Amino acid sequence: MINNSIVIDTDNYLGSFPFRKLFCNTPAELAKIAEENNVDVLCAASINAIFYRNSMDGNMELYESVKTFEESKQSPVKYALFAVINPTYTGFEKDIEKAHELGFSGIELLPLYHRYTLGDAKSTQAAKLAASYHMPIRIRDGFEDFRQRHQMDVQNNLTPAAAAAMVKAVPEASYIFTGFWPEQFLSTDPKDMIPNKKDLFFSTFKLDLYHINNNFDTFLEKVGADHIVIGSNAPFAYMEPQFLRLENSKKATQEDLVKIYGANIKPYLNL
Amino acid sequence: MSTISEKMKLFQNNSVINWHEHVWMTKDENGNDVLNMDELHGLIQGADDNYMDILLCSLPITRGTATPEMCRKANDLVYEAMQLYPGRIQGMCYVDPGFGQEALDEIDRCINELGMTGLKLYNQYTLDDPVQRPILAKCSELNIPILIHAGYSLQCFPEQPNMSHSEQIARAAKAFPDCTILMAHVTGGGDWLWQLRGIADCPNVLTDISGSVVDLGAVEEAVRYLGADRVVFGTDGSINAGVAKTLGARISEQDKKKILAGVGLRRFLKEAK
Repeated sequence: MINNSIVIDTDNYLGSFPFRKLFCNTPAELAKIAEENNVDVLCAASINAIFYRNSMDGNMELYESVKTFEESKQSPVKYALFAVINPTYTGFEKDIEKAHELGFSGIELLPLYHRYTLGDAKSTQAAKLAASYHMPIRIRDGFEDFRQRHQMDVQNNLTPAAAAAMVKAVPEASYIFTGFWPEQFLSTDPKDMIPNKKDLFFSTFKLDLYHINNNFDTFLEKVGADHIVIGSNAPFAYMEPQFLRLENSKKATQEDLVKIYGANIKPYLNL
Repeated sequence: MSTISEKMKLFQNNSVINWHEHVWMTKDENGNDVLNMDELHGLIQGADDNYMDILLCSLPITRGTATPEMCRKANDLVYEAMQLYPGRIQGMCYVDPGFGQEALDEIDRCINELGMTGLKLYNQYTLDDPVQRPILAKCSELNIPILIHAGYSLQCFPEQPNMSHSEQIARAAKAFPDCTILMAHVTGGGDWLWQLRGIADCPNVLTDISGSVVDLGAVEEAVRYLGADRVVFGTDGSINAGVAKTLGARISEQDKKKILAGVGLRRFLKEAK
């Protein structure tokens, strides 16, 4: 752990998941786990917003609950909110405008759940609007490991090529990719766009699948510390794996760690 | 507030037995099957970094039929690793139950001649298949644990049609109540709640927490359904995940120590600090 460096977890949620009980789903409970891991800022989106027909209702629930929590001053942990946007639903543009007005840091797109293709007309429109407000766009794959998903949950995984289509359609936007199988990024299109795109970030979630050795180091060498951010996926997952992998890294320099812990993403969150 | 290095004192200051790891085979320049030394050294490095005292290792044939010759070769390579890291690596014999008496003979060889600790079964047959009965009886007779590859997925594992899930393991456990069975990697991919619920009322079945899945609550639920005495530490290649989920679990320090020490299986170890 680097002393005095800001620690930002870029992959968090609050709310109820339809397919599994989450053991921590209030702002205070999640903040407590964050404190135990020295996390300063949680980037949270509403799970309810994903499944509501009108996502903005879920976004507003998140906004109100976090506002109440922060007003109570019970924790030093801060929230950066990401508004779930469903570009297939009428009036999504107003949702982005409202989220910006309320101080949401970014938006989140979930093409698997809302059944559209990244880079299509609607998602392009949403991404352009978010970019105009300097709101980063978080794009996530499914939630649980695909081998344990409920029969009513999404069954496919998002491919790097699909994510690349969004970046190509709206290159002026900033992106955080999370929940992807990271190995896919090492051999496909998105790798090629990294050198030319400063504000494209990959979260650390899922960076040690199947590997004895710390796969994080391989990823670090391939994409560079400037493009990696911490993403725990809490409360779906424990936070500790992300910090242990950094602690055990043989390749990351102190400078790299400062960037990954939070310096990379901080300028984009309107904190 | 504690840093990861402070949290790691749990591992540093306590006995850590990793009940689910592997050594692997590769080809030498002449095409012979040899121990993969890079993988082995990586495993030991990971174990050193994370203060693991003993690693229970096997070398299963993971797809298709495993002939007696293949199993003997695999077990010989496990024995080679045991010799390279005496006391640190303990062996788990691997057989294909479909080979009947030859499989039983190989278990005898590995336990009585090579000094291995237990038996590893993979996905050639589910544990409740009748072909497993002589194997279960042999393990009861030798008083050795069985580590059974396991998982349950609503999407199935099409390439592993005979992988055991908890209901099948429970059937075998009830038929052989003197046999100690370790259901592999409850967090190795698949529905871990199904796996826990299925074995909850089988006192002779334990589980390990190896695997890449780090769902918050999984270790807590394992302890809630089984008790900490029936949950043991493991990594199965995902060292970071195995260690970190133990650190993150919201269970008592005492229960974490039980899991790391593997209290429910400790009597089977050849030696332990």
